[in-house]
Parts: sequence; C-alpha cells; structure tokens
Amino acid sequence: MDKTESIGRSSIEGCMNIDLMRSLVKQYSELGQWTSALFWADAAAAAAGGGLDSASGDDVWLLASAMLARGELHRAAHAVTSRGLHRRHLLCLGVAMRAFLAAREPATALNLMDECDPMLLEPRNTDQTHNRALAGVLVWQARALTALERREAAAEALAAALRADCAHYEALDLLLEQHALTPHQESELIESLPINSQLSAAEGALLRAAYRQRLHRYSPAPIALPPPDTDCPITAEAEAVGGRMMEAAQSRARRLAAACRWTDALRALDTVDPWCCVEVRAACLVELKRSSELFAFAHSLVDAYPHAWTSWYAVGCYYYLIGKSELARRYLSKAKSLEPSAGCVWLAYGHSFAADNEHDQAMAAYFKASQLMSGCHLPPLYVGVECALLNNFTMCERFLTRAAQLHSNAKVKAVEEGEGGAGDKAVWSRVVAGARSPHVAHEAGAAAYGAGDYHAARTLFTLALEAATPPDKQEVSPRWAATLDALGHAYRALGRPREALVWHGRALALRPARPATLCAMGLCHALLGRERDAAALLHAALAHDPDDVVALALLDAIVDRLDAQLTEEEIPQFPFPAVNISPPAAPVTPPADATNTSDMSMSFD
Amino acid sequence: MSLNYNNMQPLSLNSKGDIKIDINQVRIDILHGIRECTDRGLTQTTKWLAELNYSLRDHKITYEHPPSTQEDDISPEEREAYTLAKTYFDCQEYDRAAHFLENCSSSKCVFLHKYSQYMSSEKKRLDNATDLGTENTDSTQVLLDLLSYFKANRSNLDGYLLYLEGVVLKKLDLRSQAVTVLQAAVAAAPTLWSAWVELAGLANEYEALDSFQLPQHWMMYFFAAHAFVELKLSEQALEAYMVLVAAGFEKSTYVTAQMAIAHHDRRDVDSSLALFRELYQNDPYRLDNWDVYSHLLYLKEKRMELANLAQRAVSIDKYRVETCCVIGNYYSLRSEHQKAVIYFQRALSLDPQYLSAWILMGHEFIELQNSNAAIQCYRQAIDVNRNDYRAWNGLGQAYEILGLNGYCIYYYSRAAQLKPDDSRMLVSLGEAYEKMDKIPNALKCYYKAHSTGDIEGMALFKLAKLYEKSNMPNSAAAAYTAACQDPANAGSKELPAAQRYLAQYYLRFSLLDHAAHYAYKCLEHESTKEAGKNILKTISEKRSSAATSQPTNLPEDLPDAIKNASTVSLSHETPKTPLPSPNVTPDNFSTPVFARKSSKYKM
Repeated sequence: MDKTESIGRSSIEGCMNIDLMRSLVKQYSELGQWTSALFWADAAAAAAGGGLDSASGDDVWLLASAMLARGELHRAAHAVTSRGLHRRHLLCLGVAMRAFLAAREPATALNLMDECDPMLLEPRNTDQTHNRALAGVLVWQARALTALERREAAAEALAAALRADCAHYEALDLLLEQHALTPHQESELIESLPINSQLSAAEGALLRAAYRQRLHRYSPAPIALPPPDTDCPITAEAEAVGGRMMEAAQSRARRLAAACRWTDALRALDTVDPWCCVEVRAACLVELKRSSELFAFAHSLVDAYPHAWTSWYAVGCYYYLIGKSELARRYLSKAKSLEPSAGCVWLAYGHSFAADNEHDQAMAAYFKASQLMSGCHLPPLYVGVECALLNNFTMCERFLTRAAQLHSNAKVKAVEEGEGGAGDKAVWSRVVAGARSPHVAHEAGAAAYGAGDYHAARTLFTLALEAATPPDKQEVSPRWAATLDALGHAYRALGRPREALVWHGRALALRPARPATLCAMGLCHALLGRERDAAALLHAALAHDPDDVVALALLDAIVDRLDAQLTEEEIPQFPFPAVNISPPAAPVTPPADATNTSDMSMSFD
Repeated sequence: MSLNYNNMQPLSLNSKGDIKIDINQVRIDILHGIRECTDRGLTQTTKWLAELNYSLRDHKITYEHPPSTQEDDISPEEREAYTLAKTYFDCQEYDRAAHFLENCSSSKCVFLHKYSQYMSSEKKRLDNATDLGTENTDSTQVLLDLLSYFKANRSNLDGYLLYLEGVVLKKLDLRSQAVTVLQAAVAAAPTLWSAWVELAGLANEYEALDSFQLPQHWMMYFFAAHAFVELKLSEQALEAYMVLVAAGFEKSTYVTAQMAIAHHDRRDVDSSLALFRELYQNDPYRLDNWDVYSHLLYLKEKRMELANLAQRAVSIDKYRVETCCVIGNYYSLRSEHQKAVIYFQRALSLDPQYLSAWILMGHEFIELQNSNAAIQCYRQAIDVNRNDYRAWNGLGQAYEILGLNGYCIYYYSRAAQLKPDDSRMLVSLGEAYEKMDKIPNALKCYYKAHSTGDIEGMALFKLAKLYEKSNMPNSAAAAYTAACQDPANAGSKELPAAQRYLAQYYLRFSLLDHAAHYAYKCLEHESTKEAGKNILKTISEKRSSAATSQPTNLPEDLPDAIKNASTVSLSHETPKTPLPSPNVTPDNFSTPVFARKSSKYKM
C-alpha cells in the first residue's frame, strides 16, 4: 500500500537501510509474525528520526499496527496520541481509533476524531488511497457511534464511507446488518455510488451485482440461478466470478431463508462451509425443528468462540426451540451483552416472551429490536402480531402498514395520528395496498379477521397466498396450509360456505386429518344444511382429538336434526292376529263336554 | 403373459352359476405374480399367492410357451445395489435400503426405493405414536413427497407403483383419487392381491362396487367375494365362495377362512365354528382370523376351548394382533375386563388400524361403565371404518349410559341403516325415541323391528306397551295377543302383564269369554293373581246382569279380527253346546252361565 506521505529519508547515520526495515515490517505483518514486525518497526522508527518527535507518520503507523495486532491496545494508542499524529496522519488516526474501540472506549475514539484536522477528513477525488484510508476511519467512527447508540449518525458515517470508497465492502455490510436504512434508502444509496469512477468496468460490474444481491435479501429468491447474461463479456465474466464467490452462496441462502425455504437455505450454506452465517443457520435449524443438530452446532461454537455473540445466540435459539424460555433468555442476554447492536438477538428475545404468552414484554423486546434494525420490516410485523393478540387492532394495523411499507421498498410515510378514519376502526386498506410479503399479508389478514373486517381479511389472505405460491408450482408448501385454512374461515364468515369448503379441502390435502380443519369443514356443511356430512366430519375430528370443543359443541347443536326418521308418516296400526280362543293344552278338542274336567289345564288355587 | 388387460368392465355381481376358470392359467399367473412380488418386497401378497398356489398343487402346469429364462429386468449395473438394498429391506432397515437405491432407474429398483421410503415413514409413525392427536408432520411430508413424485412421473408408473400411489392417497384420506388409481393398478398388475384388498376397503357401498371398472381376470372373483365379506353381504359372499370352491379352489385355506367369517357375520355360529375347527386341523399355525374364531368361542361361552386357543396363540407368536385379541376375548369371557382392556391396547399398539380391537375394547369399557373411554374407542373405530355397524351401535350404547338421548337416536339410526335386518338396533332406537317422547317414531321402530324377525323377542312387548301408553288400545291388544301367541315368549316375564291387559281389554268390550280366558291365565302368575281374580269376579257379575238385559251390539271400534272371531266361534256352535272356552267349568262359578252366554253370542 502506498503511503501518501512517504518520505524516503536516508538515515542520518547513513548506513541503516530504512526501506529494508520497512519492507521487513510489511512482510512480517503479512506473515502474521507480529513480534518480528514490531521489532523492525521499532527499529525503523528509531532509525528514521533522531527522536520520537521526528518519527514519520508511516513508521509510527506501522509500529502502532504491530502493537495492536499483538493486543497491546493502549500502547498502540499511546504511540499515536503521544506524538499527536492522529491530528495529521489519517492512517495513524485510524489505528488509534481502532485501538480505543477494541479497548471498549468508543468515546475516546470519537474525541480523537474530533481533534483531527478536518481537511484530512474530506474525500479527494483523485486520490483513491486517501479515500480508502478515509473510508476506514469513517467505518471506525460508525462503530464507535453505534457503541454509543447514536445510530443515525453511524448510518450517515457509513454512507459517507461508502461514497468515499465504493469498494469498501465492510461499510455496506455493517449498514445492511444493522438494517439502518429502509430498503428504499438502501437502493438509493447503492445507485448513487460513483462505482464506475472508482473502479474499472469488470470489478465495478462485480461489485454492483454483489451489492444488489445483498440488498434483495427479502425478496423471493429465484428457484434456479438465472442464466448468465452473455451479451457483454465483461458483465458475463463478472457474473460468472460473482456466482462462484462464497458471498453469492451466502446471499442466496439469506434470500431462501427469508422465503421460508429452510432446507434449500441450509444446503446453500453447506456449499460454503459449516460455520458461515451462524445466525441464518441457527434460524433455519430452529424452523426445521432439528434440535439435535442445533445442539451440536451451538455447543461446538461456544467451545470454539466463547466471545462471539453469534455462538451464544445459537445456544439461545436451541433452548427456545425446545421450549425452555428461561434458559433461552439467559443465553440471549449473554449474546446481547457481547454485542449490544445485534437486532436479531432482541427479536429472538421477543419470540421467547411470545411463546410464554407475555405479550407486553414481547412488544418491548420487539420495540428495542426495531430501534436497532430501523429499516427492517420484521420488528413492526411482530409488534403488530402482539397487538392483535392483545386485541388492539388499530395499533396492529398501523404497525403492519409500516411493516408492509418497509418490506416493499416504498417510501415510508410517517404515520400521522389523524389518519385512517375516525378513531377506533382500523382501516386495512393501507396494508392491503402495500403488502407484498406473505407473512405481513397473512398476519394482517388474521388481525382483520379478529377485528371483524372479513372482506379485508379475505383480500389479505388471498394476497398472502399469491405471494407465497412459487411461480411454477401449483400448490404452496405445507407451511402455508394455515393460509388456506384462513381463507376458508374468511369465506365462511362472508357467508359463502361452499367456497370455504374448497379452501379447507386444499388445506386438508396438505395437512391431513387435522381436527381443526375437519371441524371447520363440518361447520361449513352444517351451514349448507348438510347435517349428515357435517356429522361424519365432526366424528372424524373427534376421533383425532376427543376434547375438541368446537366439534363437541357443533355436534350438540346439530344432533337433533340428524334424525332420519320421518315424523309425518302414519303411525302403523298393528294388525290384529287371528284370535283363536282355543283350548290351550289339549291337542285335540273333544266334542263339547262341559263337564269334562280333564281338559282343564288351569289350576288357580 | 396372454392376459387380456383390455377387457375391462364393470363388476358384474350377478354372475351366478359356475364360472369357468382355467386353473392352468391361474397357476402360471400365480407363479409369475409370486416372482414379481417377492422381488419387490411385497410380502403379504406373496404369502397369499403362495397359499393359493399350494392349494392348487395337485394341478400340474402345462406350459404353452415354456417360461423364458429368469430375466430380472434390472439393468446389470444396478444389480449389486438392488441385491444389497433388498437384503436391507428384508432386515427392515428401510432408510438404508432407500439410500442405496437413490439413483437407480429400473422399475423394480424404483419401486423398492419408494416402498422403502413409505415403510420407513410408516414404521416411524407407529413407533412415535404415543398419544392421540400428535401431528406427525415428517411422515406426512414423506407421503406428500411421494405423491409429487408420482404426479411428476405419471406416464411411467407400472401397476406396482400405481398400487403404492393408491396406498399413499388412502393414507392421506383422498379416497376418490385412491379408487381411480387402484383401479388402474389392478388393471396393470392383476395378481397384486394387496391392491384388490385396498380397493375392497374403499368400497363403501354396494353401489360403489358396481361402478368399479375392473379387468376380466380370475382374480376378480376373489375380489368380489372379499368385497362382499367386507360389506357384510354374507349371503352373496357365501354364494361367491361356493362358486370358487366348485371351480377348483376347495383346498384353499383362504377360501375356507373367508367362508367362516361370512358365517360369523350371518350370526351362524355353528357353521362358522365348524369351518374354523377344520382350518385348525389343516393349518395349525395359521394365526390369521383367530380373533374371529375366539369371538365365536366367546359367544358360545366355550371357556376351555378359548383357553386352549389362547395358550396356543401365545406359544406361536406372542406379539401379534390376533394373539392379543384372543387373550382379550378370553379375559372378557372370564369377566376380567381390566385385563382384557390391556390386551386389546397391546393389539392396538401393534396395529392402530385394527378395527376389531377398537370395537372389542369399546365393549369392555362399556362393561366397566367407563363411557368416555368407550366413546373414544368407538370413535376411533369409526375413523378406521365408517361402515361397521358395531361401532355405531356401541356409540349409541355409550351415550345411552350417559343419558344423551339425542345422540343415541343418531347413532342407533346409523347402525340400523348399516344392518337393516338386525332388529336389536331398531329396538334400541325405539327406546331412545321413547325417551325423547317421539312416540310415532318409536312405534315405527318397534314395528319394523318386529317385522325383521325380532331377535331378542322384546320388540313386540315394547310395541304393545307403547301402544298402550299412547292410547291405541286396539293395536295394543293386537300386539299383546300376537306376543302371547308366540311360542318363543312362553316363559317371558312380560307375559302376565300382557295377559292382564288383554283380560281388561276384553272386559271393556264385554267379550267375556275372551276376558275370562286371559283372566285365568293371569291367575297362573303371582304378580297378576289379584288382578285376575278381580276380573273374573267382574266377569261373573257382568254375566249375571247381561242375562237379563237386552243383548247389546258388539261395539263398533272392535277390530274386525275379534268380530270375526266371535262370529267364527258362533258358526261352530250349536245352540245347545256351550262355547268351548277353556278352563271354565260350572263348578267354579256360582252363577250358571250357559244360557246367558249363548244368548249373548247370538247377536
């Protein structure tokens, strides 16, 4: 890397080859031999100047880097600050900030930056090296600001870093991880980057494609990779190379996971290596309910990387999966303490509360998550769900609208108080207009159903089903059978039980012999007046779940009408059999002899 | 194979008379079928075919074309994988077998692969079935995946794969699709007996049987007979089996067993037992259908024989469904109902679809007065087979214990629909109606029960009582008379009350001879002695007063039969001789009655 202020000095003494020493430092740094690097940097610094004051910025920079790599944080910072080099030398500033950040003193790092010469912090159009160093500094600034919970400033710093150096992937990574910008803002940012001016065409194409891939993490992933665009050789090669990158596999995995195709996502992650994207892998294993795999994975991570928040997050996910919410929360709070800005930890925290039916605490956790991930649609979605569970449908609608807007890349409008009709009634049209995500649409539909707005519920469920149906397949995956059932309920509530039966039938084909679905079908049949079919279905439901309340109540209600016997027919008169008062015992009646007492069979004394 | 698969027609159930079956062709078909099914791991079908083959062992095969060398139609490169997988399948390591067959394409390998997946998921479902209501999503997912494979490869499914598809559809409760697919399966592979059995299980009604499109193959006769037994159309089943016996299958243990079951369904216990004993002589280790055998012994209360049977079953194989059922029946006979329940539960853990075990367990719970558990058992039985009248009857009994008569009506009417010739259910239905105060319906039920041959003999008495209660005295008297005349009711406890009613009835109409006849009968029984004496006294008073009064007309509303009866007796009378009414002697009465009587009856 070229130094902007390299001063090729010949030593005062004249025989020390400072350049050799500097090159040695570089080599040892690349080889990871930090102690040797420190030694030679020390030597170079000492040889370059007669004293501490005259050591060049570059030498001090190399010295401080070596100390930092060895973990001697305060020494590194001191090496820079004692010489005041952080004011004039961008690289030294960067090292010092890095040192203070690693030592968990973000405020000091920010102070250093404030003391720096503002001229240095301007990007220079022609000097890309300076820009890169500047971008680095801005990224450290952003990290410090995040640690101090000043997230908007951090987001701005990251945006500035990206503009200064488009190739600075870490800035984009941090931005996206934190979900600091809405999707709309994110795509604006990417489009505005002067990539072409900073990079050559091929690498620029690669970078642009990779950034776009990262951005579209919540839109449904294509089933197969699209065929490469062979028009332009540059873009073709960029796509080919980009497709082979691990980055591409990880992006694809994220998209598949967001589309609820967990097994495919895991397979994509497996093509990279077993430890990449820990949070995504843990989420997939939780959804697939593979608790033994998750157990093994999480504990191996914790053994190997006890200081990484992702390991503890995975352990927390495992305990959430097996239903031990207390333990889950304990480990998740450990992950939180390691990395306060990780939004997904707060989401998991909220899920564990929701599993225990503690809706208020869950909402609080989701609110915190939404602060941390302000551009992500998931926290407001979950807040909306919790509101619906607490029967607060107006609030639910507001949050789901926001979630829909965040998901669909629309410009997020601030939700005003007076909007949405008079007072209490939730107006679902905004959600209907904006919902593209199947999750948002389904939850909104469920809330609308609970609020009694069945038309909106039906529209929303239909939207959800469309969004969830893969383009080339006929039927949704069994995960969305609940949507089919919900459509059945909505149609029935709208007074169209015949269509409701069709939907329930589809749901039953995906999840056979489910008591709730069978009961619902029974109810539809009963509403259509077909009591016998209803009774058959209700009996099937009761065979699977003897305590099903709906089935028992419904059966009680219709059992009177199940009687097949007609009541209008005539009562049969019994035909009188031929009455023969003939002597009972004697086989032959002798000619009448009233006084013959031997015929008497009766003895009644 | 020179079978004509194109000749499909609806099942002709009315082909009476002897059928011409070419035993030679049958043997060739069977041998081919055995080979195909063994290679595919279809053990039950193979067993059935082999038994049939053994019964035909006296017919020597003459081959038109000598059989070709044993070709497997497994491609050479897949042969090792196939052999390995087959051995794993035989050891019941289904997942392992499926794994090694993943990339094979010859038809037997493909079938074995899919079949192993199916068997593995079913085994896991059985092993994991701890309590009711646990949704087993993994097994369902396997079934759904199999279905999508079948849908995707619609064009190259042979008969065996179609059979598997039918089984999967049936498991997912998509019955009409299953029926279509199974018909195609039996057309393509007629010797696959399991496919025929599944099809029979799906045929719920007689009409549905008629609508099946089935190939004209000798197996169809077996299928028709089996379906008749399933639908409990016992008469037709027996006819069909007699036809088969005449056609050359007389030594087949299967045919004998099915005939025994048909007799059992007709409630002809003795013939059934005889056949079962004959079976036992021929094939002493045949545990199949011993549950029916034990039930027959239970009905006849043959404790020793049942105990023997149980011991024998245990010594052959302790962990089979039939053995557990036999032991359950044994304990039930000894009235140790708790133990019986345990054994039926064991039978069900071995095979949750075993209908008889559910029903018998339900009966045991009824004996133990645990109606809730009984209800659960019967509901499960209905889930397995919607058309078994015993389950519906059981539900009716259980709800009767609980006193929920509305439900009783529904259940008993379902049971009566399924077995219209069984009067017990109609009687229970009538009782339920009576309790719900729906008298007309109750009357109809008792009437129908009587006309279908009143098994328990209660219908007539109940009918009469109900007529009496609903103020229809003529019908009541008619019914009581018929009841009294029925020799089967001679020792019945209801008889005295019936006779007293009749005596009072005739008394009202002043038909004193009849009244006296029944009054004398009343005197035979303790409970009605007093009433009888009172009636006789009244009769004698009436007779004395009637002698002096004008002869009165017979009342208009008297049934014609009685009017005719009186006129009949008149025509046999000579004025001088008294009416041959029994048990009346002048010595026992204080007042002479002759003259008055004849004057009265001269009207």
